[in-house]
Amino acid sequence: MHLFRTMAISGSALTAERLRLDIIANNLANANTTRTAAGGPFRRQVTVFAPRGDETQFLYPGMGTPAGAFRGRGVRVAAVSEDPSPFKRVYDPGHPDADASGYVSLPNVNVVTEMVDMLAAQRAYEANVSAIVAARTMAERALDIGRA
Amino acid sequence: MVDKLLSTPAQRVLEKALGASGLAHEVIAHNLANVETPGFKRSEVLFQDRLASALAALEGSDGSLKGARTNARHLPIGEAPSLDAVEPVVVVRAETSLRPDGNNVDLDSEMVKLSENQMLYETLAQLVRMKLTSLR
Repeated sequence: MHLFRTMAISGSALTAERLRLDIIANNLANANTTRTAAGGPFRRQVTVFAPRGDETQFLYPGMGTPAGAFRGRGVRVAAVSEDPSPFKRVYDPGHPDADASGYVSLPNVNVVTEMVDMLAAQRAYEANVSAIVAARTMAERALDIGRA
Repeated sequence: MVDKLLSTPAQRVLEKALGASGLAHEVIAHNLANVETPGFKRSEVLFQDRLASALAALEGSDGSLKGARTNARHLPIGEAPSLDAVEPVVVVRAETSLRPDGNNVDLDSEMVKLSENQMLYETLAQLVRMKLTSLR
């Protein structure tokens, strides 16, 4: 068991989930932003996760890679991309950002979806904290072997 | 003589099991880190069953038929690996899917495995410690 590499695996997940939470918080904060610096309403952002390390091993059940060749190194945020789904259009001619026909384009942020994603991110974060605590406890027990 | 004291078969098995348990924690941690990654397939460590079959073969109590080998070039049939040859292996479970995006990591199942593996590791470390202390 590689002590720090094991904790780094779980640490990568903490970083990734924290970034995901930031993106979700940003989406929620801008759920009604109709005027961005680049013009137009705010577009929802999504984090794309990818495993870190070599994941391209296909194995028959019963075979396996030897212990020394396990390449999993956790998770990383591969990209923060924009959600291409269309904006919401609401009829509101009195709005300062209404177009010629009186429709306002609102951000494509669904508050309920963001809340559910936030819960999932929180649960994943807590699970990885448990993994770090377990790793630390196991290392302490291993150190106890040599103690008088 | 000292190395005979410190490396009886029982102790070698304990150390191997300890190493396998440490590897299992890494694999579980990797699964947990990727619980939200689309398309990710969980991995697991196979060791206990292989060790059990090697131990059963050692005692001759596994009941399997063994092919007789009268020549070194005969292929071994039904022979379990020797105790020293048992190693943990990591397998990717690519045949299941839990969510529409292909991810098959079950958070609750992995958390249970994490706890079990932690208890196993601490027990094994305790046993190793007891063996070393009893040599004193």
